[in-house]
Amino acid sequence: MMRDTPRTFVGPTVFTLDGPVCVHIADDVRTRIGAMPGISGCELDIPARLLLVTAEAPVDRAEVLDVLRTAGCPVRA
Amino acid sequence: MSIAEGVSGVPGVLRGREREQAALADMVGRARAGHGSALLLQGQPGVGKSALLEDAIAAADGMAVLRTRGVESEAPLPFAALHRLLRPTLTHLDRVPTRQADALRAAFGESGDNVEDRHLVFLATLNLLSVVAEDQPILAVVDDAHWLDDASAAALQFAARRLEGEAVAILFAVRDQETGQFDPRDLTVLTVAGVDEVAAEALIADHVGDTVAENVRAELLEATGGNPLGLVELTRALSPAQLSGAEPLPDRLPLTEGVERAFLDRYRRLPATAQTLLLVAAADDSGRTAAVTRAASHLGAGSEALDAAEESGLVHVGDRVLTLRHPLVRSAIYAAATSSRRRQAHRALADALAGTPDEDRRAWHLAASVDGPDEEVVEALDEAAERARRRGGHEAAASASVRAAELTLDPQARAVRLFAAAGASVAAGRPADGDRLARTALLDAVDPLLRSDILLLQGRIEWNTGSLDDGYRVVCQAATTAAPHDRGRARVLAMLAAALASFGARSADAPDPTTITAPPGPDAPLEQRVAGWLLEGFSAVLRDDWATAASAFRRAWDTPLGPDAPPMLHHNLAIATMHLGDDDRATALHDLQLQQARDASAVNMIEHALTRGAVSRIATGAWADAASYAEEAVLLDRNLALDELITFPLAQLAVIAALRGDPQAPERLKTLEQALEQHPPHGTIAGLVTGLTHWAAARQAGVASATALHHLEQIDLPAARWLSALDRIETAVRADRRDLADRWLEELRAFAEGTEMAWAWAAVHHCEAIVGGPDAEEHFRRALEWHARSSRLPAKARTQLAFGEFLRRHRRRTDARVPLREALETFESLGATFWAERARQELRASGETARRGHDLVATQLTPSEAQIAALVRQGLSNKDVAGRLFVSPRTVDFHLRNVYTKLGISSRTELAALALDPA
Repeated sequence: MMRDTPRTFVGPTVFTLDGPVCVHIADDVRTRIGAMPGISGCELDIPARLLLVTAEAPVDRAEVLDVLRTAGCPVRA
Repeated sequence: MSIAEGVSGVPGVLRGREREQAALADMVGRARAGHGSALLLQGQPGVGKSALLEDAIAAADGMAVLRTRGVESEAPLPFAALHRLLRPTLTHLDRVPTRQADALRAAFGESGDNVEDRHLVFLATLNLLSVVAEDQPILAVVDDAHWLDDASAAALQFAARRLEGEAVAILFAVRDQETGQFDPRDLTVLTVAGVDEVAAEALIADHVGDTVAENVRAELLEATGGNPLGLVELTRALSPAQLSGAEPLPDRLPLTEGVERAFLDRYRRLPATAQTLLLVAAADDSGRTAAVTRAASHLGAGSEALDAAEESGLVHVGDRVLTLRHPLVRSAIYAAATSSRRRQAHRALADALAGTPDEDRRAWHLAASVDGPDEEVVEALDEAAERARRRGGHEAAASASVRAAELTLDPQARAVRLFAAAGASVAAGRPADGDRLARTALLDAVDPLLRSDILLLQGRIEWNTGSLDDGYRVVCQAATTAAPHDRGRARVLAMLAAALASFGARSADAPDPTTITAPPGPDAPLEQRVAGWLLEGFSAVLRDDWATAASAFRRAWDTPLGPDAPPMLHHNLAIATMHLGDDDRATALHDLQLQQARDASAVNMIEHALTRGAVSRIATGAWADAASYAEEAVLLDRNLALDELITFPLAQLAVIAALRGDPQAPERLKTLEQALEQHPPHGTIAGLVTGLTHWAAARQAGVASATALHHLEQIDLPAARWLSALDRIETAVRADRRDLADRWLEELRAFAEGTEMAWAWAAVHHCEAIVGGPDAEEHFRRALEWHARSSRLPAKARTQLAFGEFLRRHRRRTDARVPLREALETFESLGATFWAERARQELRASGETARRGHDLVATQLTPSEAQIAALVRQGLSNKDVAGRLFVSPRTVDFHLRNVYTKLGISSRTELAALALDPA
């Protein structure tokens, strides 16, 4: 797979944050990801640097990554 | 696959690369002379890494050249890149140890076998290179190493760090800041930067002509930082008016983006069908012309598209192999396509691969082609995961299972796949990924038994790599989760938890393991009853309730279990022996385990059995064997980078050296202490390692009693206390610490009363005799009676020595000589220089003209040499020795030649005929 190979998913997916995030960005990420169609949950564990995104309907991983990039919250590939 | 990309439009001519060329020539030259190494070329895309590799290949007259490259989309295909690299050498595979050769064939999918242990594939890689290089030096070239599939990357990095002494040079090229799974740590790096002005001018002249105005050239040089691909492509993209300076240059973009833009402009000028073909080529990872053209024709792009695409220079089409001009062509075209176009391309490639042996590729193209859960695709991915697992491609197996989970609608089925992915990650040596996946799986898993399995995996990860206490807590949770649904399973898990606790695990949040399930009834299956007894025994150890521990363990040991019983039971039956110091049983059970592990070539299990088998041998005085086991484990840990385990065998070697009074003892201890700093012991071995370390420190020559006592006081784990019991109590007496001596003696007596272990009673009476009570002689005699029933020879000889000293001090010199002679004989046979000398002094003091002890054979051989010599003496061939010790046949040969020189012999027949063990 290449970085931008289409990758739709359902269910829970955990992303590892690429660096520390502030509370402000974390809130922003929760709001933005939570508002995406198909997403049923978004939890951020800031100390563990983990982001849990749960999809109840197919979501394109690339779109989640785009939203995270826009929000200033990069994750590891 | 061809590596004919790059910008060297004029073949063989590099511009401005004298420094890099010299470095490469030097490194390759050393490899020719048998001093192999690996070198990493690192730089931006387009900076000329591939061209330098081509140049090195062109200069490699008389060397066998092997080549491969990573392909971005190929990451989930296990050992794909390695297979391409080694294909020309596979005819020599019969020259490497058989199991390794079999593993490599299985890894490449050339046999249907399973790869039992991935280390065998790594070793086969190294040893294949090594034997082929005996005929002809090797230059191995790995371009785009940042995109290697994980399994290939792991194998090549393993080989790259072990080339000293081999006529092998490995060159890797990686992009800056994009090492992927490729870990460049401790490889020599050659940074490739842009070229200078003179070279830039020449490059532009080579590729575009010399109609470029000087100020335009200067601006291009500045914009590209001398990146050759950038220079050529950006210059090519300019209009004649821009080249002459009459019109301004376009807005400046970051280099890579600029080059991609230039490629994209050329792409967009092509007819739609040619664009389709190029998109398919970008999505493809096989590089096979047939697959790409077949897929493109599904999308309506025929041979005219192929011609147009090739004319653009963006792709080179051979009969079999199709190569994009540069990886940036791939990324530019792929990124520019909409996701529905990408899906179409992947679907077309999947269809084109249907019915071919490329099922793994097909599965991944299918996965990229769907926009939601799809059972057909999930099934294909499950199968790909299973194939990868069998081939030892655990990272790939994990990726396929994760992808399958992402396309699975049913939460329970999803959890099963995520759990499989977690297990595969652990097998790939990525416990952090395994932990993350296990946690994710728990979110979906509803079935309590599945949850319990996942928790067990999570606990195992935790106690091996994180905290023993947390691992213990999670295993308790696994047991509690299973308990209402499967009591048998819960009991085995509770037993495991209790075993962890018996080696030091504690947690305030965990239940007492014995309360998780009721004990098995008398009619329960044997396995359940054994689990119940082990659970009872381990829990009793925690309470120092030795009578219960001993009777429970003995019942478990006396119950015959079939070889099909859960490995966890067999494993813990063997472990339990350490708590009672049941040395003979410990030796037998761990040797059985060792045999099975060797048969399966299961490296971690071999290491485990060796180090446990060494402990019981330290106690019984089979020190040569114990040292040989520990040395083999050290060799294994070092060769296979199992660094986190190495302190255990090093601690054993330090103890053996200290007990013998070996002149090397301080050095052994120092080596151990350094290793402890780098790799503090984790998990279940931590308590034993700490105990052995303090024991070794206390037994150094010339250590003051107070210092020795300080060390011995820090031995915490009961199993380690029992091993060092004589030293602990004797030292406390010598340091005038009667309080401690009495306390430790009481502790030991309670153990002896509970367990009725002969060695323990012998130790109790030995210590009673030396603490200065009235009945010393009686205690010595009783100690010797108990020793006669125990296999702890060193302890027996020490009692004899102490008894002899006692008798001599009481002027019974003739009586004293009997035990002293026996002690001397034992110490000499053990190679215990220090103790033997003491016995000799005592004998002399008792009036015996003590014969001068025969000089103990000095250890002339290094540990590796001794190890190899011993195996050769057993009749093993060099190839078999190499297979057994997980080293290369060449290494065996090298050490063996040193052995011959040191011993003044010239053949293995002579070595086998030597009367003494040379070690």
